[in-house]
Order: sequence, then structure tokens, then C-alpha cells
Amino acid sequence: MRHPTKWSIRRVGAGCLALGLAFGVPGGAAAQEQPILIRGATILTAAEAGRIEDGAILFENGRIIAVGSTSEVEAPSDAVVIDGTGKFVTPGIIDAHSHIAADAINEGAVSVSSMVSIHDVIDPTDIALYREAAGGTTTSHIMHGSANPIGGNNAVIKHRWGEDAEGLLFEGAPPTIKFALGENPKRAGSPTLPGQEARYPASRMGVMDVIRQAFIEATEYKAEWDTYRARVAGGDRNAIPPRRNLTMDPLVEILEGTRYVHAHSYRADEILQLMRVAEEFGFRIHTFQHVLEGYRVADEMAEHGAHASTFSDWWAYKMEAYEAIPHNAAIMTRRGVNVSINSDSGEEGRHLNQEAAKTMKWGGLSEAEALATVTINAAIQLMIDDRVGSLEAGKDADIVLWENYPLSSYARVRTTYIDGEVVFDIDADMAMRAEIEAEKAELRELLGESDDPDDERDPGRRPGGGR
Amino acid sequence: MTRGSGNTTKQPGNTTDGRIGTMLKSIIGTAVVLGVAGLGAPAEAIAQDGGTFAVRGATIHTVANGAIEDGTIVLRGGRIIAVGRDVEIPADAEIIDGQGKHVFPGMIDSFSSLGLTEVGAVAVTNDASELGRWNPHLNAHTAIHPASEHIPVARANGITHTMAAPGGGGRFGGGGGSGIQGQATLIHLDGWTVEEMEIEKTAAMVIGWPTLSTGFRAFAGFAAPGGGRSFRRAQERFDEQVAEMDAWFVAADHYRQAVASGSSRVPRDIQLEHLSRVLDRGMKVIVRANGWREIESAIEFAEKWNLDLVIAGGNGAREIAGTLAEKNIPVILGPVQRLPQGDDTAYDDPNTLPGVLHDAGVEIAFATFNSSDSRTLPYEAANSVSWGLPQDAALEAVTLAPARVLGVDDRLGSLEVGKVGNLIVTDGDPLEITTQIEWVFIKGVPSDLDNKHRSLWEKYDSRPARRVTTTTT
Amino acid sequence: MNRTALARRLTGGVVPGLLLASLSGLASPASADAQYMPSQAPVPPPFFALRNARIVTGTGAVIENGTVVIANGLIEAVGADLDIPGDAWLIDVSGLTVYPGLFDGLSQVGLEAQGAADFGGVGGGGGNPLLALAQQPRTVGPEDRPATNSWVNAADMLNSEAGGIETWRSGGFTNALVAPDDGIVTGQGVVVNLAGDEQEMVVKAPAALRVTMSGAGGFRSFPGSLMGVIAYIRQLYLDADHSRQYEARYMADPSGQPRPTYDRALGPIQDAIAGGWPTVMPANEVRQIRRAIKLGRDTGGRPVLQGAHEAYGLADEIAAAGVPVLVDVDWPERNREADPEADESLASLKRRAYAPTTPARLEEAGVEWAFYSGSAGSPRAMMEKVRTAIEHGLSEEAALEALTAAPARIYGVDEMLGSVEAGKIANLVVTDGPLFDEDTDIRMVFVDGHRFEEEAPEPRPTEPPAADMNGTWLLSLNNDSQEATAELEVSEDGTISGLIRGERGEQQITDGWVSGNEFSITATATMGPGMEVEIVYTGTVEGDSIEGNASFGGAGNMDFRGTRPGGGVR
Repeated sequence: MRHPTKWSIRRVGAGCLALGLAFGVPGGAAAQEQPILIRGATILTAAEAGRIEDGAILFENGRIIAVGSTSEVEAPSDAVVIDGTGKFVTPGIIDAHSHIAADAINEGAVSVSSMVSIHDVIDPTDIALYREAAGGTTTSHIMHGSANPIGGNNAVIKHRWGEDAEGLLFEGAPPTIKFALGENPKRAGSPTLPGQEARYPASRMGVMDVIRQAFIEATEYKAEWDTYRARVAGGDRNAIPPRRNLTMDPLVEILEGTRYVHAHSYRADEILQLMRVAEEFGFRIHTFQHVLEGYRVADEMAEHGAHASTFSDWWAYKMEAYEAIPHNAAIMTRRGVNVSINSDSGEEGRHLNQEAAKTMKWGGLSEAEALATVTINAAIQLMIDDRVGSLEAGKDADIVLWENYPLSSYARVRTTYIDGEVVFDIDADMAMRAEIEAEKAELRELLGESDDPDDERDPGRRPGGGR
Repeated sequence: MTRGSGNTTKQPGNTTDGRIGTMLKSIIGTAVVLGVAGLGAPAEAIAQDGGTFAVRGATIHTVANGAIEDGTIVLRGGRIIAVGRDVEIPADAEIIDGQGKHVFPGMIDSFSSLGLTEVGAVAVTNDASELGRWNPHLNAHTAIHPASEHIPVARANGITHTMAAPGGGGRFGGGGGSGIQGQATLIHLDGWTVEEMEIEKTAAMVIGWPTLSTGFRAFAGFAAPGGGRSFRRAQERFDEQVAEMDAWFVAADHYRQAVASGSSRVPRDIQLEHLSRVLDRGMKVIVRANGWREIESAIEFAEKWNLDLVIAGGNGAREIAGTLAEKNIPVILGPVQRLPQGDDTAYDDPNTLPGVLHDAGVEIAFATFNSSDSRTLPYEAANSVSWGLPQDAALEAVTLAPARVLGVDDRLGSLEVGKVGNLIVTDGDPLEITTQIEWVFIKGVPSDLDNKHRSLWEKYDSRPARRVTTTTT
Repeated sequence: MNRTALARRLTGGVVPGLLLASLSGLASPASADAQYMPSQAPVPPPFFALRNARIVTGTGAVIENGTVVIANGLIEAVGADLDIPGDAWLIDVSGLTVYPGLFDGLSQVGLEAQGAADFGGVGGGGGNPLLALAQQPRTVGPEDRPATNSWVNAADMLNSEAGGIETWRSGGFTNALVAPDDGIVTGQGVVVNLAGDEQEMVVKAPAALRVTMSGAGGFRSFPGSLMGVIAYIRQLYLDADHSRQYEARYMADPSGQPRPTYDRALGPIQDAIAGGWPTVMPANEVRQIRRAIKLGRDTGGRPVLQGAHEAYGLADEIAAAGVPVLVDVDWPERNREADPEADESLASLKRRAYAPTTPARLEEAGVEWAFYSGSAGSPRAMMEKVRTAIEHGLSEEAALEALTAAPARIYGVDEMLGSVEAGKIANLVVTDGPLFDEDTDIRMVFVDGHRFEEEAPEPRPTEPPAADMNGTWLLSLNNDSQEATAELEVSEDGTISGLIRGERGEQQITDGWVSGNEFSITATATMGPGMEVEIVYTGTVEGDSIEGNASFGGAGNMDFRGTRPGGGVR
């Protein structure tokens, strides 16, 4: 049963949150005020419980308290109860490869750009955060671009629309870094201008060489620091610390296993070769991104222990994508690779549920397997699966309530919760549109521009209105 | 219910008589070209010897006349010869058991670059655009590559025909600037040569309308205005470009008159010759325009020259939906899966647009404006349904509506007796992602569903498991 | 006799409205080869007493009828009842008000244009920015010190004859923090007096370091992006610290050690860290403000936020961080060239509506903040924009402080500047009314105790317009076939307002009149990022044609002609 009064309170709250951000003013980190129970819905848990018909989910203080059949889950007396009859509930969608909400993506002039970090340039005002939440996306891996064999450091964020840059960051998400192979880092698409020096590398051979050289240097740099630390530990007061090198620091973390490599890749050969280079230096490629020919070396990837984050059905937009097939996710899954479907785009990030559904069509993944590609599998790839990615008691209340079946081209989100807070809701969104228009009118008046004929919309030009 | 359960049928054809597979190869060779370029005669002579096929006991979604439960549809000589519940199946018919299956008209991608481009980023594989801005004499059919890998990929998902148009291409429907981009060709997505594929060699003239754009954002930034131009300058530029367009039409009109006068001293001008065919509604004119002011300008222009106007793109068509309806100007809509423009625009603005236009009485058709993504056409339509476009209208907008928009609804777009046998047999709603397309009939015969993707899948799915050499303890 | 007195005698002393001419080129030291020559202009003794003054001291105190005694460039005494020394020249300023000289918190006034070729890295060079970029040396890592001009000291770039100095001084500005403009680290900022020769001008050098976080080189040069710039700044500070440690250790025991590598970029950074130099960093939007604060924290630099247009929502946070702020008075304005159909976003409207409330919010929150001119091209434009802040809730007292004592404190010159107090440098402005009143004129300015008398503004010609100049004019400016259109609107009393649209953008008309068939139009044009120029069009009008001369802020002249195709349309 819906409790209209309480519902409307939450709705206004959501509106304010979104409005606050539109002003560029930080919104307060509002904690979930009341327990919420959604019941009578079909719950796709992305956990062992699988699909629960006539299910209920209770969450409070930003955490999931219970998931089960409606008869099993009891609501505290102060809970807001939402009737989910005919509706579906899934975990918040996790986008393992995104480029939204950042003021910079590529540090492109160097072959190794590990000194830079997306953390420094998060743009919390990017409306894509909200628009993707309206498609059920609650967590995104904001990645450096693919201009360099070794790229910059990435950031994992939640779509807490209204928070500042710091507030978006997924607390405790292990650090990751971007690598890139193939056409982009060898700059095949960016021919050198006259008078401009070409940037090495220009071949896949050179790409591997750049990576190998960087790790040779990183190994030496690490040794320098290890020596220094040993001297200090040995009581040497004259030891001078080596120069801190921000380009090398992340590579040392990779060698030490505290920073995880997400490598942009297309062709099977480069996927294989990068694994071998990593093995040479004793680390693992944590996740291959795009990995459109992963289906050709899925066994090798599984053996290496690499995950795969791919597209649903994009192909032929560039030479190295010409042999891409939509069955890629299914083949890799069947051969034991953990596979996610990502967006790489602020548009695609609004309907990853539909992209996941394509893995059912192409290659025949099950409903649970398909959902996992945009939830728990992505969480595993980002090593945040203890917090998000499935609907289980104790996890973050990142939850999507769908109007209809989510793995469908007809799917539509009703409400998206992050940490138990509404970040998107159909009704709140409608209310917000009016609020924004009212606010704009007020501001124009404040600016003395309200009588400006430029701002008057021709009343004849309305939906359906003739002109 | 097997939908999406992983119970995928790899070989749709393998449940029926293997003869069909054999036939597949033979019939294409004997198929006769459908339609004759330029004549626009109702197609009659299609595959005469294509065989007879019947889908029996299926739900038949005619689009024109509702759905028929437990119905049968019979194809012969390339055409639909019977549809209904009590239909006599000719003795020589190949019969497909339609139990639990659904039959729909084949879908049409109303504006694509299928056959005109292969690898987006590889310039030498792209033939969708030509140099220069005034190319009314160019025709897509001269560059359509029947062996493009994109065609079987689209076909396997139920796209049976498309308008392949110049000036398109680009993954997000970009491409083409202001100018006359050339003639689009309506093709079946099957055939050994383009001549076998053609439905209408010249389906429409494609024009890119000038855009009224300042090139910078409207808000007060911190940087000095730069890079863009003032609105006044943008308007001037727009007006100049429209005037330039008009000059071509004036010249074409003059050329037509001069030629009609029988004068022997008129030098042949291939550009004007082709352009003059659009005058007095002699040919469809598809104008690519998105903003309402551009659309309005195109409408005004079309009225001046009495053009048979279709708008393609139409992102801003909401603003003048009433006008479009009143003047019976159809809109070929671009992808629904696109970002709203402007930070304050509703998140679902692209989703609601088709429903708004439909409610206002505007004829709409969907298109991908793409090649490799053409197979996603049905999902663009479906993405509007939860935002107000009726289910029937969404289906119609990828079948019968585009046939009407392109003027071939006498032959295509619905399952009616006498129409060309372009249909698909599915296990469900073709607009739904998880639905499997089990049969595709083009010109009355089963089309090969194999394609680059399927064969690579089959090949690598059956790669022997790698022998992992582990040094066990 | 000290050097400057000699110089003054040699050059003919200070003549109101006339700048000191340097004897032998730029900033020459006391020149040994300067030959004695009798002064060609009178040099009065440097003692003055301003009597019967209303004195707004800038410390909070207002003396209704007092005296300021000036001697040898300093304020000797201030008070209501003073014994006036006999050597002082009495100046009766009855009815006038004495204020501390105004201080522009960040400016380029008096700086020689910085040639890109002189300094490493990205930036510089007017004209085509892409071309300028292509001509820069390619840098491929932090070690190349891209766009790092930390050793460049604005004091070495001064040109006492630069056109802007007199303009700003006449507008009451006696001081500015001037800093180089090129690069990621642009160089060292200097507090200057707006009079005197290049050496006399300097009050404190260096007084600040300036970092722009711009100059990203795209895919060509490192750093190519904002995050690259930030990473680079971090590395630069780490390197400065490491090099300091290493050099100290090396000097103590060089034997067997590789010698330190000379790096001209690092010394000033080390000095800035050690000396706690204010480090000016651009920060307009909320996230930029937070980034600058964080970067300051991470590097050990002492950030001063520059811009702060969205600081209205963050005043408490800024106060808590203890970070000073330079507020750009050039409030965001609506883009008048924008498509009228384009929907201005809520965020943009908010920014335009609330940016001018930033000063009041900062004041409330107790933030240390000052105004700077930004791209306000003239003191008149700047004061106009300060008035906007006052209309949005800022007290006049706080506005005055933000133009005097506050910038002096931020740059550590508050012992010398910022108020009318005995012992401070005699930089004063004397007005005929309250400083922030629109009608108030500046009558006298003292810099280093030298009097610059401002002529009472020339009254505008009062002849009624002989021609109706309303309408849209097409102007052609004749030296490089530039074209422009002007939309003029003339009011009853002959005041001209409107817009001039040139090929490089729009010029806002700030002042103008038509009298008889003569007219004058003053317009402000943006010539490049952060660069505004005042253009004065003067000429005559005859029916539907005009002609005359346009003066570009003293930087050049062009003739123009114009017609009015549409005729006079009201």
C-alpha cells in the first residue's frame, strides 16, 4: 500500500536535491530518514536468491535490512511502504566504464600518463549523473581516456546527484588505472600534423614496448625507494629520500598489487600480449575493457584471471571493432570469465539494462546471468561487491524500482535509490520540472529580464500546437 | 516460455525440410528484379519461380488488419497470396509450423547507410558522402555493396528492407551538411546484386537543411565569447544557405521549362536534370532537419516549390507538431536513444517525442541513420512505448508507416494479400530485445540468417577448451 | 639628493597628467652617465597639508574636518587638530573627502606585453591561439617544466609609460598587484604604486606567486588537460621540496654525490613555500574553488582564490579553510549574442543572479577578500561593478576595505598601504563626494606623496543633437577592412547607448553623447580572454552617414565611416 503523505515528503526531498545541484550549490548529504519497504514486486536479486516472485525488500539508514518474499519481510511501524505489485526491483546498475562527470578525460600528449587522476577533475554538476540514475545506474567507474598505453587513474563514484565531487566518490573503492592498447594509443585515428613530432608508439609492438619500459623503470624506482627505506630502517640518518615521481607511484602500486589495471583493448592478439607482459612483471590485468575480441582468447583470460567489461552490440565503427560480435559476453561467460556490459557513454549509461538484455538474445545468457553483467559482475570488477551489486541484507540500499520488466526494450525506471535515498523518481521528476521553470522565472525577474521578449515562448508553439 | 532462457535456436531453418536451405541458394539466382527504376510501377514481376511457403498456426500480426490467432499465411511467387485463419495451403507449399510463433511484416529502417559504409573510422570503406554540397544527380544505388557484412547482420534481426541514403553514416546519425546529398535507394536486404535488391532505385532526394546554430552555449560563461558566432551572424548564414538552395531550385525549374520547350540548344545539365524531378511533387524530398525553425523553414521552402516533403531527424519536431500534422508532413525520427539537449531538458525528452507526434496526428517512422546499428531499429521504437507511444503505433512505425512515408505501402509494410512477401517469423514481439527472429522472408523466400556475427560465434563457441598447462604441486 | 629626486629634476619633475619619462630606457639603474641639466619643469618641495578635509581613514574612523600632512612620500600626520608644519603647502580641500588610495587585487596594468617566445611553455602570443600553441616547444613530461615561468618577476616587466597606469590612477587606483599572465605558473606578482619610474613603482617584490591551471596543450604537449596541469603542479612542488633537501645535503657533503641539477623553475617555488607567498589560483565555480583549496593543502602552497563567482554558496567553507579570495568584479553577464531560442540553464541564471552577492556573503562569513578588476577594462567600469555588489548587499565600508586594506593584508603590505594613517605611504584619493556614488568625481590622487590633480571632468557639450543617430549603422574601419555594425539609441538629452558588434565580438557602449553634429561613443571590447579595451569613437554625423576616428585604448587609431541603410528608426 502506498502511503501518499510520506511518499510526497520523499518526493519533495528528491526534487530539492536535484535542484540544489543545478545551482552548483552543494547539497547536504541527507541520510535516509525512514525505513522503506517495497513489497509485492518481482525482485531480481543478482544474488543466490535469484528471482523472488511477490517479493519484498526493506532498507533503512542506507542499508538493505531484508530481502525475501512479501510474507517473510516485516515492516517496522515507521516504514514507508511502497506497493510494488506488477513492478520489478533490481540492484542499482553499475557501469564499469564511463566518462561522465569529469572535466577532463585524456592526458594525451604522453605515452604514459599515470601521473594524472580523474579524482582531480570530477564534475559533480554533470547532468549525466542524474540522467543515468533515471535509467537505474547508481555507480560508475569514471575512466581516463584511451590515448596512452598507460593512462591515468580512474575514479569510482556513486550517482549521488547533489553531492560535491568528494561526496560522489565511492568510499573505499580500491584504486584503478587505465591502460589502452591498439588503435587509440598508437594514435591511428590522429595523424600527426605537419611540423608536429609523432608520438611513440605507432604500432602494437610499440604499445607493448612502452608498457614494458614503464615497468622496467617502475621496478628500478621501487628498488630505489626500497633501498632508502631499508637504510632509514637501519638507522641511517643521512639517507636522502629519492625523488617522488608521480608517474611511477601508481605503477609501483600495480606491482605491489594495490592498484588494479583496467585495459582498453580490442583485438585478441593485444589482449593476449598484455597478459604476458603483466605476467613478466608479476602482476595481473584485472579487467579488460571493451575487449571485443575477448571471445577468441576467453580461455587464456580465464587462466590469467582477467575480467572482461564489454559492449553489448557495437561493432564496425573502427577497424579493430570489425570482428566484434554481440555474443562476446556469452562466450566469455561460458568459458569462466567474469563479464560486465559497460556504456562508455553518457547515453548508453541510461539503459544498461537493455544492453544486458542483449546478452540473453545473443548467446543465450540466462536472466540472472544477464542482470549480473550490469550489477554484481561489474561490482566484482571494481572490487566493491561487498557493498553493492546485489540485493542482500547488509549491502548498500542502491535499488531500482522498475515499472516493468527491466531486461527489456520497454523497461522504465520508477524510482532509483542510492544509500536508501531517492535520486530519481518519476513523480519527483515531474514536480521538479515545474519547480525549475518557476525558479527560472523568479531569477529572470530578479535579473530584470522577465519582460524580455526573447524569453517569451510563442504560445502557439507547444506540443501539438499549430504554428 | 522459452524467451531469453538461453534456449537459443542457432539454426532457425533446421526444424523444417532441408529443401528450403537448398532452395535458398537457387532461388536468388532466378529472382527477377523487383520494380523498375524510375517507373514507379506497382511491382508485379517478382520471383516467379520462388516457390510456395506457408506459415501455419501462428499469430499473424498483419499491422493493417489486426492480429489473427492461429492463422496461416501463404507466400507464392514472391507475394502473399493468402492470410487468415481458414486458409487453404497449396499442396506444393513448404510448410513451417507456426505453433507458438508470431508472424510480422519485415521491418524497414527508413534511413540508413546500409551498403554504403563498412568500417566507420576507415575512410576508404565509406561511400555514403561525396565531396561538394550539390549532388542531386548522385544515387546511393551506384555505391551499394551487396556483400557488405552489415546487411546480413541487420537482416538476421528482422530488418528486411531499408532506404539506403547518401549523406548519412556516422554512428550517431551525424554526417551530411547543408546541401543536396543525392538520391536514396529503397532496397530489400537480400540479393546477389543491387539490382536484385532494389525496390525503388530512386526513393527520394535527400537534402541536408542548413542549421541555425551559433556554435556556442547560451549561458554566461567565464571565458570571453569565442569560437561561436553571434545569433545575428548565424541567422544571416542560415538565410544565405537557404537562398543558395533556392537558387538551385530556380535553376532546376528554368532547366525543366527550357527542356520542355523542345529547344535544341539547351546543354544537358545532369545536376539540374535530376533536381528538376522533385518539382511538383515528382519525387519524395527528404529533408534532414532537427530544430523547429529549420523544419519550419523547410516546410516553407517545400510549399514554395510544391515538394513532396518528408522530414528526417526531427528532434525538435515537438514544437511544431500541429503544423506537421495539419500539412501531412511525415517525420522519420532519429534514434530515441540519444541525449536530450540542454541541461534543463527533461531526461526523457527523446522518449516522449514519438508519442507526442503520434498524438498530434503526425505520421512517424523510425530510422537508425546508421549501418552497423541498423539491427537495433526495433528497440528505438520500443523505447517510446513506455513513454506514451501506443504499442501498435510503434510496430507500425517500423513497418507500414515507413512504407507509406516512402510511398510503397501498396507493396510493403503489412501482411495483406498481394503484397510482397517480406515477413519475419519470431518467438515473440520483435520490438523486444530478447525475441528471437527465426525466419526472415524477403520477396517471398526464406533469407539466409547466417552472418558474420553468427559464424564467428559458432566458430569460437566451439573452440576446443585450451589445454591449460599447470605445474601442479 | 636621492636618485629619484635627481631623476625628477632631470626629467622636469612630475607634471599632473604627464608620466615620468625614463631617462635611458627601461628601468635603468641610477645612471652614471646621466649628465646634469637644469630641470625643465618646476619641482615643488614634497610637503603638503590637506586641510578641511573629510577623511575616511579606512580604519573605521571618519574625521569630518581634518588634516592630512604628507612629507617625503609618507603620511606624516592625520587628525582633526594638527599643527601644520611650516614647509607644507596648504591645500584646502573643503567639501572634498580623502580616502586611502584604491588597490586592484590583481591586474596587468603597467606590465610590458609578455612575448611567448621569451618564456617557456604554453600560452602567450595574441592572435591565433592554435598557431601560438604550435609554435611552443613540445613538452613531454613534468621534467620539461612546461609553461613554468616561476622565475619571471613582474617587477622586471614594468613599463612606467604603459598607457593603463594613468587611466587607473586617475580613477583613484594608486596600487595594484601585477602578475605575469603566461603559463601554468605565470611568475611572481608584485605590489606596485601606479606612478613613478619602474623602480619607484615597486612596493613589494615578490608579493605573490601566480598559478593559472590553464595552458593545457591538448594532445600535443604535456600537460594536455586540467588533470595533467594539476598533477604537474603537484610534481613541481614535490620536486622543489626534494631539490631543497638534496641541495642542502649535497652542500654539506658533496664528496661522492652527484651534483644537483640546476633548475631555474624550482628556486622561486621553494621561496614561495618557505615564505608563505600567497599563491593566486583561478577558482570561479564551486568545484574549482574546492580543487584550489585542496591543491593548496596538498602542495603546501598558500592559495588565494581568484574569481570566486560561485563563492556565494561556499562562504563558510572558504572561511573555515582560511583561504583568502580575490573577487572578480566582472560579474557574469548574459551572452547577448546567443540564440534567443536557446534556453539559458538554471545554473547559468543562478550564477548571473547571485555572483554579485558573493562579496556580501564572504563579508558575512568573515573571509579575507578583496576585489580585482578582472576584465573590467577601466576604473569606471570597475567601480560600476563594485556598485553592483553594493546593490546586492555589500556595505560601502566593506567595499572600501576590499579595495584598500584587504588587498594590502593579503599581500603583506598592510603596514605600508591600505589606510590613511601616519607612517604609511602617502597614497590617497580625494573625491568630491562619497566614493561609491555614481556622480562622484575624483579630484586629486597622491602616490608616494606626489600630487596628481585631476581636472574636473570636461562638461559634455550641451548643444542639442543636430541629427537623430538612432538606428543601426554599418561601420567600416579602414586599416584592415574590418567591419562592424552599431545599434545606437539616443535619449532626449543626447546620451547614446547601445551595442557595437565587431568581427571579433561585441562591444558594450559605456558612454556616449551627440551634440550638434558631433558625437563621441565609448565602448568596451573584449580583445581576448581577460583583456578589455576601451574604444572611443569620435566623429561627426551627417544625415545617414557618419565618419570619424576610433581610438583603441591608446594603442592605436583607425578611421571609420558608416552608413545607416535603414535610416533613422526609432
